[in-house]
Amino acid sequence: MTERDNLESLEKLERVVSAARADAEARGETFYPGASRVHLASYPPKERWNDWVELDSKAWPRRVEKRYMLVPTTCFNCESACGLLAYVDRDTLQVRKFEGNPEHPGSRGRNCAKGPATLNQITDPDRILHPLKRAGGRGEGKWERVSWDDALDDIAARIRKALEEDRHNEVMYHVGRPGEDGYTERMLAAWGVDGHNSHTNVCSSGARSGYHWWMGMDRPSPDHANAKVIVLVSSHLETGHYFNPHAQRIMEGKKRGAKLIVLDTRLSNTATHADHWLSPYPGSEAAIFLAVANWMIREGRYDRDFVRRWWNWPDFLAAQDVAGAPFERFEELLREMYAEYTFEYAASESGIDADELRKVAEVVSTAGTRLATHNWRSAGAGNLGGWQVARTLTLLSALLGALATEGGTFPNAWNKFVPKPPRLPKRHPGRWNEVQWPREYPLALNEMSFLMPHLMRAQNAYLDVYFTRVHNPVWTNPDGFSWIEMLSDPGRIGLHVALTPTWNETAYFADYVLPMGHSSERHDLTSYEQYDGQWLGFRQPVLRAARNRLGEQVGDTREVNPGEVWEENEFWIELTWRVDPDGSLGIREFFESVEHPGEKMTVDEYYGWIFANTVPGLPEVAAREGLTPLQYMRRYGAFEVASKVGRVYEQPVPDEELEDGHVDERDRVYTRAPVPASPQAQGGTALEPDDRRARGR
Amino acid sequence: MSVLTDGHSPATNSYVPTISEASTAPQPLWAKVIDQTRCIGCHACTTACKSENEVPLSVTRTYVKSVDVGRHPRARRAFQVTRCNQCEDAPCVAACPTAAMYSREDGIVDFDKSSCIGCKACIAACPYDAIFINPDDHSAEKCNFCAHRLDIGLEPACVVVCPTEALIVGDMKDPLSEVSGIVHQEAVAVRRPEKETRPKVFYKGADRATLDPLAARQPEGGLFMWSEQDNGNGKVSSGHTGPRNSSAAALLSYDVPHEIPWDFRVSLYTFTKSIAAGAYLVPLLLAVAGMIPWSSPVWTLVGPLVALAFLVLTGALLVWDLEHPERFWMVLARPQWRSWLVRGGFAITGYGALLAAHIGAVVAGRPEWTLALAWAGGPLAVATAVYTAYLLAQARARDLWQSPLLPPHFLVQALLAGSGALILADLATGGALALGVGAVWIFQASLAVHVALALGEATMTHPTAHAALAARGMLRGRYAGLYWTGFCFAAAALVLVGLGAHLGVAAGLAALLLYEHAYLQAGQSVPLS
Repeated sequence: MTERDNLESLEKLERVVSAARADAEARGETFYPGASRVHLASYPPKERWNDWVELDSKAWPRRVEKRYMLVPTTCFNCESACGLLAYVDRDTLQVRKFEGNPEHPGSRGRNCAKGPATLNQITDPDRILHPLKRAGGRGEGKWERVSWDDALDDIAARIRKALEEDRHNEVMYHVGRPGEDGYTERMLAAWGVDGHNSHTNVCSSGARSGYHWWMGMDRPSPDHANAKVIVLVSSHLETGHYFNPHAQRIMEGKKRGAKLIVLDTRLSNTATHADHWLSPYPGSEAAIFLAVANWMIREGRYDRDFVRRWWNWPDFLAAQDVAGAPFERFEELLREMYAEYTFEYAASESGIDADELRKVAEVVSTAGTRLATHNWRSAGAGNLGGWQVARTLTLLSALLGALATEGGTFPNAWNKFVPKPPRLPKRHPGRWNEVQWPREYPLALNEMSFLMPHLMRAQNAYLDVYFTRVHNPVWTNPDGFSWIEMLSDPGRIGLHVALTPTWNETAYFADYVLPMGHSSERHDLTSYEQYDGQWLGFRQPVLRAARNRLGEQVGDTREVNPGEVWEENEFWIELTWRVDPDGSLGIREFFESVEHPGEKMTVDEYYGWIFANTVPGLPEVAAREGLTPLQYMRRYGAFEVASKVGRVYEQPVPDEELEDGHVDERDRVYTRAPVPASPQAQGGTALEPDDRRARGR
Repeated sequence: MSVLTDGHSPATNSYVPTISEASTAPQPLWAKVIDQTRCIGCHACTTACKSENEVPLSVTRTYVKSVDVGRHPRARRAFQVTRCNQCEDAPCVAACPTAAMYSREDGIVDFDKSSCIGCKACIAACPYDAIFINPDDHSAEKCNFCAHRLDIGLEPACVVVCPTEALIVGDMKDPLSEVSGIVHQEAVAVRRPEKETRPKVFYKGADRATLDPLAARQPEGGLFMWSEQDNGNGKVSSGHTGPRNSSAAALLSYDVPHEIPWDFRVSLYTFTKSIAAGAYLVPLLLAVAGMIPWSSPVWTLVGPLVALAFLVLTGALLVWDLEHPERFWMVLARPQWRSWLVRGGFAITGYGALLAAHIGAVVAGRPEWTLALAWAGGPLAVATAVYTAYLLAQARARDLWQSPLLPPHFLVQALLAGSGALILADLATGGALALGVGAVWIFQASLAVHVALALGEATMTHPTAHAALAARGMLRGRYAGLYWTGFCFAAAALVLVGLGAHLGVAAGLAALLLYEHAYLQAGQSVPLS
């Protein structure tokens, strides 16, 4: 170290403060304990997130100080939506690194490899920085730069024309991973368009079906951390959502003594941690669970009280023409019904030794109400009848009464919070797009999008405007060439707009490629079921938040993003306004300011309104810190709305909801009382008319 | 302080302890526990470290190796978070010529890139292959426990990011720390304890199949779990290359191949340095034995001139091999005396000065002074020849080089190279040097001894699997071509010179060069991590 460096360092030394426990607490600041359980902090005190001084790792061992503003956002590299803290260099106003967010209830300051790697995405030298328009033929690879204005006007004019000419079904938005639950569903509903397509049928639809037909909600929410037995038909210790939040809690459960049973045809990182790794013939998983169920039923290892109280066995008996028979008769029938699923049967199906299956059944039966189970893709997706995997897996939880219990498995919606926006259009636009959901597939739980090129051809359909987003069917779907054929044919697709941060095979066949931001360059609200609680996470353009904190006004997110990269939410507001500039189509009103009717809704107002009006507890907590709810979320990035939700089905129903009620002979309750008001949008995709809001709350 | 628009003002407490105050607290002794029973092999630590320390593509300070153990359906995947072990007795610190690698009082082995010359001695020395040259700044780096974070009261980046809390840091002096508790009360292991480095990274629940870099079989064709990896071209990945491995049914599934630190320049340097030492020693021996007169031009000028020329070449090769050639002077100006690179550097410099004095004396018409100078010249030439053995042995990672026969072998090589070079010079000048038969005898004898030592080296039973595998690399592996071609050249040289065809010494010199390259590369070809 030179004399000068030394002097400089000493001069500056006053400003570096320690995050260690004693030091932070002496200053009255927050100490974030880390995994090491020592005086070292995992994160700087939140009181210093505005101006935190760290020592530069590159200059080390010279003590060069770097001043950062720590701005939270939400990772977008899978669906888990873990918290991130962007370290914004106060001198350059660029992001230096991403760490986790200790204030995030789902990820709790920890991340997988993809979290810190967000830095590579935002600095990717090959990313798309400006709106591009096709200059040659489709797929020819020739592009020219266009302005956002020109692109927006062109796209909006086509959409407007389609809407005016009642060609609503010629507009479609095809998305793989929505950034924000319900945002584009709502927008399309406002347009009157039934055009929200998904990738789900090549993904999780199988398991979703299994769950949906059990409980009307299409995902499980296992409480791994408190489980006694964990059964995974998935590889949550390495992949899948919600990988990091679940992996933490699975290992936590394991360390508390939980037994881990993993069904995986591969030797996965998850299988390696299993107490029982079953690698069955693919597609035989349901047979295994049925054999476990049969054994539990035969041996009486199920929770009789739970089954008696909560199963609809009287309905079942009625269907068996023994209406009114006692519970014991039901148990008898149950035994008969499952008797054929012996361990030997399952062994012959799965190739796994019957004794091993018996051991697994015994372990499962010891769980009591602490059985945490999960199937998402894996066997649910890869096999004909895969939906029966989730279904038979849930049967085990139902037998043990391990539903919505501590250490048990919840329906996702109970552990998720989707707040309502200020203006909601009607539930469904009243049109039906046969390309997405052909009537010949009445049992399809999700859009039949994997057949889209074939359905387009069979129905001789045409899309005038087709958006793709986080969806690359040319690459991902099994028959990429069918997609290329469809995307190349102007008789099928009039205008293809790819919204994407980077090039992909599908964008290559687009007419417009519009650059959208990564996780630290866009707004979204996220909430996912990761433990027994409900949280809300905020994804935000961190440089915009940083400039705001420095007192700068930012017009829209493009001003802080690289090049002309934008974010969807602002883009959609702008596009909607250009589709309906004078409000004559009745669309614009859904994106009008609440405070200043007739003006455009801003993202600040949009989220500010949501946080202030529909997130229980947030305004109070924010006020305690002297912040508005929006300021709180911009500062901390996440808020826990509820924890320990528990057995919702055991909660007494308030009298006013039973007003004018009637109980039928099988204990079904009918009431004329209005549906109770809830801040939560049900299930994320359902769009209820929001009367409460319409009354001007 | 900026004006904040969101209504939040930073805390303004009057008491603000600073880092300088914190530094007066008793010094901790930092250690880490890597709990492989919790590790899920997700590589979060790898990327968090890259991001925190701005580690460029192609190199890593930490990564997760995995080995698939057993056979379906009784199988598992064992992980090993692989990184610097923060040794109490750190071979890299001992080997570093400029103290760029140094041990802090709190036990962290840290580094200062501003004084790194890029000699790669630390990489050769590290028994864990945890050090690499950063391709951007050409300096050696590795994990330093995120010292810059610990010093301001923050956990290292990998500890913070880990989803399953599999990595923890703590103070070994604090008996109540989690780390102390685990290290003292649970079954933990360190990697390569036989190297006696006393690591401060402890593995809990680690599998022998990962701890021992030779336990697992390497996948055929470099086909790893998700990738094909380059395991040739100067790169080494974990796993046993031979037919045997110490753990049944263990297959390496993921690893990051490491660069071999020292390339042909180092092999060439040992060769030119042998000529430099031998070209002075051989005439000295001949003159002492009375086989040539002290006035012989071989003693007075030709030998020393050849020696000096090859010494300069040696120096040039050494500088060329540095990642920071412009910092070569630091070896002499900022010596770290435990380093054999420093000691050798001074030996070479002294030897060079002596040769210059010798030549100067002769040119000045005072040839008789060369006899007095020879009292220092002999030992300096021997030191120049032999120190390389200690330099190689200081590479504690490389078992093949830990041989007690290495010092005499390098001396023999100097005699072989020196006599060979002078015989060629004699031939080139039509016998004007009047070398006589003595040089040929020395050549024949030293070549025979060299061949015997080289054969012994390759065929002898080696005390460690590592050394055995390196020797196997020479006899039957990657370097067999070099080794056996060298052997044939040596045999040809012995026959030709025996028959009086003195040009055959050229084959002998080539044999030496080929052997040295095979030996140095084979020594570095065994995986360490």
